Amino acid sequence: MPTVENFEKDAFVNLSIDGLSVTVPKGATILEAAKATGVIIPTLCDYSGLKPRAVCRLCVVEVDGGGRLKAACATEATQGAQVVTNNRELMSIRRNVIELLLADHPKDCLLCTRNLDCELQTWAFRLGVRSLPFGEGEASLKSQLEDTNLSQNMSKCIKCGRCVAACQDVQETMALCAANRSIHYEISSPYGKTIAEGPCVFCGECLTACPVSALEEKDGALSLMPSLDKEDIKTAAIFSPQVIVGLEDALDYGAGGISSGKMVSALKNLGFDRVYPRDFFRSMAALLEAKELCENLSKEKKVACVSTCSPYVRAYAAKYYPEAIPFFSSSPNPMELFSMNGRKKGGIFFEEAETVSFMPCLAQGAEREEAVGIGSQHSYHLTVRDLVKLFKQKNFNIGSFGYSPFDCPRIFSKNGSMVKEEAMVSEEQLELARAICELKKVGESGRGYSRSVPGNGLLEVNLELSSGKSVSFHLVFGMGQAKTSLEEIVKGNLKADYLLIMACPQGCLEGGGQALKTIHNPHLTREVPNISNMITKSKLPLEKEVLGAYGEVYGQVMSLK
Amino acid sequence: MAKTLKLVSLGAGEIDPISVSEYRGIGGYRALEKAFSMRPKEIIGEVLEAKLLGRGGAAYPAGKKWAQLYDIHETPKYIVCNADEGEPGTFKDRLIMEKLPLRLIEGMTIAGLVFGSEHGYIYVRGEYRKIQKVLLRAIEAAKKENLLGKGIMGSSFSFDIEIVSGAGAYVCGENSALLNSTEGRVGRPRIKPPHLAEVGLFLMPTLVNNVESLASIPSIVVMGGKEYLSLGHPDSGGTKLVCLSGRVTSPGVYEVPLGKVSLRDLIFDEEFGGGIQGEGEFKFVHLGGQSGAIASKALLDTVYSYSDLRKVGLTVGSGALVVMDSGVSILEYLKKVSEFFVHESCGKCVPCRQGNRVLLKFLARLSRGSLASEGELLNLKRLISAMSRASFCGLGQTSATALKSAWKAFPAELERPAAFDKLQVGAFPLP
Repeated sequence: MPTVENFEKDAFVNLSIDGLSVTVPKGATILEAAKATGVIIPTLCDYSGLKPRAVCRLCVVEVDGGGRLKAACATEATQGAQVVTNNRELMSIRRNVIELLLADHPKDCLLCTRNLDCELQTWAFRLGVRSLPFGEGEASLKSQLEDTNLSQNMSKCIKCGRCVAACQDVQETMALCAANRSIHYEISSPYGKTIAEGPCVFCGECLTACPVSALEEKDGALSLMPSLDKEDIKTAAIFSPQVIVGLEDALDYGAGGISSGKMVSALKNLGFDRVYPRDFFRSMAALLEAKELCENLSKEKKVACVSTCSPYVRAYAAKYYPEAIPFFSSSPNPMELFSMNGRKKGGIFFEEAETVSFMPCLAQGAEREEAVGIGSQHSYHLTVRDLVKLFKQKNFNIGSFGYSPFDCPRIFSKNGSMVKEEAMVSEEQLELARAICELKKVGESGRGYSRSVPGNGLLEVNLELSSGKSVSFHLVFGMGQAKTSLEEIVKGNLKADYLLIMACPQGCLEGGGQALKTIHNPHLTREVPNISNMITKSKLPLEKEVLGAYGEVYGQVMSLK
Repeated sequence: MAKTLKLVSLGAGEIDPISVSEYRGIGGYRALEKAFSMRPKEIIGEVLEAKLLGRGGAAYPAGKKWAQLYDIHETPKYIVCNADEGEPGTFKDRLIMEKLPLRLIEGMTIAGLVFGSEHGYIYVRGEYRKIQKVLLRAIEAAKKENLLGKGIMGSSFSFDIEIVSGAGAYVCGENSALLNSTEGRVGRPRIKPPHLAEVGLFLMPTLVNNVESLASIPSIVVMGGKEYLSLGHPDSGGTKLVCLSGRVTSPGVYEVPLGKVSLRDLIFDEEFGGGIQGEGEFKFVHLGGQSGAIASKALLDTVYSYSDLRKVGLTVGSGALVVMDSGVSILEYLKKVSEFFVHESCGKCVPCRQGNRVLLKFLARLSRGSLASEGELLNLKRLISAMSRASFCGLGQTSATALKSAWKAFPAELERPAAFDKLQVGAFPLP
């Protein structure tokens, strides 16, 4: 937005929307101008961060009297324009559009997972659609997307194309496309191949863009319930901090309404026997990765280490940039470290049978279905949406819960002491581990990244080790930038020692498994870290405990992989 | 006195289509020679004065289009010929490309000269496979004679033409979808603005003109805009190729001066359609293609010109005249039209994708006589209006035009179809 300082006369246009005068920056659309005046124009295919596509036709408005109607989302606001958003004809057309969509949309709203949270339902209600003049049939679309963790019910699809735009324009993954024409027009994977055969990384951008319940992960909450209720199955959970942000939003607690302590209580109330601090596993994973990085740095590899939040990014690289694979880290990520610790896997840090990690992530959950990487039938990765469902079903008022402390991971010890003081970690390794941990924290919490600005997904930072050695880190957001960086690796000109790829363009905070409301929350302020100060000497979370445990079980942890 | 006036189709069938010398024999390449002695602005001035309206169907003034592109200074500019002649009942571009490909090439070369463009594309309908070969041979022939390629006619001007083909989607006849398809993208229309003159093929300034429009350019350059205008109607100069099909005695392509003949002349005059075949009587004529309106007997005396037709709610469109006789049920005809649009909608916008499907359902129920209540007819009218007002592109906006006009012309048959049960249905061939 232009400010008083950079005010230029030509930078603004003045127009009238339903009689209200409004001044907006030049280049703004009529839809944006309407938003600025508080006039709400219904939309379905418009979605924040996506280029306008003007295909739902719900936002048509009249500009300067009669003539052709214009799609507000794709029409630039011009000086002196007289826009009418709301006359009789426009109301009739909008109702018609909804009625046409409902003509072959299932009518089982009551049983739908998006009931009360569906954009089609909302507009049908608000526009006063009370009958179905165009038939009450039901599409019986079956799509190849349904065989994956991406879709449950393509017959719910209204073909707005938001998922395709998110996949193609935001992520540049090209796993989804709009295929065929007319009544056969559908959202599909290219060339009719299955999703698994294609480039999908299960980032979930498509899914969070869906205005209805066409794209939706499998209900993880349902599969988990039996284990939670059984006395003889011991269950352990971890959760990432972005989960709390999602819950606060989705359950209307407001920022700061749920603390970690209350979360632990709530999870215990759900039936979990233990709730461990995720920081423990993250710090441990960082240490393992730092050891690898350290070794590779000393070998003077061109790229010492590539790390990623999701096993699917690695699979993607294996498919399209196989030359980059040797540079990928072989250390387990925190979730893997946690889930591989279930008792049936010979757990080191605890002995519960089933492990559940809650994250705003779709890929980890998809892994459960597809068993790419380490998948285990006794470990679950659930999304924030799953957790919201669980809490809603239980009718919890988390606000009224007391604070419970995290459980402490049990550490195997020969001599009985919990923490062995002397760690088998060099100063350099520790410095690198701290840096990696901080970098991942930034990756998770997102930053002031804007979807609509391409090439905005790269953070670069250098670290001076106390030994005098300099290490450069690249943090990549989104698959578009990831592709660029992977290409650079293949060509041998990536200018980084350590590359961290976050699959989601806005980090875990708006990840593919986040509560939908959080992703749509315009007031959500993302932390924009001062990167140069980031990798300082801040300690690892639970550093003392982790170092102790690392010293005790180092050999065993590594042998797990 | 003969009513036919041949400009675009002059020499069709009389000369070897790929012989440059025979084409020169009927006045070919005189326009290009003249164009070299003119300034680009002068040529645009002639096209403006000629009031050449786009012959593809949209009737956008070609001169205006040229002037707009001329004022844009980015380069390279592309010349694209829309030869995706997919409109049912339309087969006039085919005549030009088959019999007089060099006239089209000459027209495109003049356009190339005007805009300093070096690349032209002819996007030929996928089904016109044989014609593509004719075009390729004509391009080769022109190149041999130094009328295409590097340093045309010894000048410093170079221009080359490439043939591109789609896979046979009607919507690719829409200019922006055509460009998408040419680029190798999915052939679905683009959001406009930006207009194609600004952001066209490969995102560069582009001229997209229909075959007949481009083939009219040589005549305009040779005779001058003023004379070209005087041959036609004061609002729209020159001649138009008309495609007569359906129940007329002599179907075919005819070239007529705009504003000088009536619909009745075109259908009944011995020089043109020669009246209705067999025993039947004239019932209606569908003008301009599937997206055009339907005229009953009452409108037969309308003069065939852009403005006269517009006054009574009809369009020249592509130049198609599909004539139907009294044996044809209007509802069954409309169902065929509707089926066509259900097949050809690109599917991306709701009013067109869903609307056409619902429309066809309505028509099916109407023809079964099971759509009785006034409420339902009102819903249908509301749908027609939403489709034509809110669809993304011209395809959806016009797909209910035939129904709308037929409703006006044959209200009884549409609203009380049961009374017409005895009509012979479905027994007419659709072109």
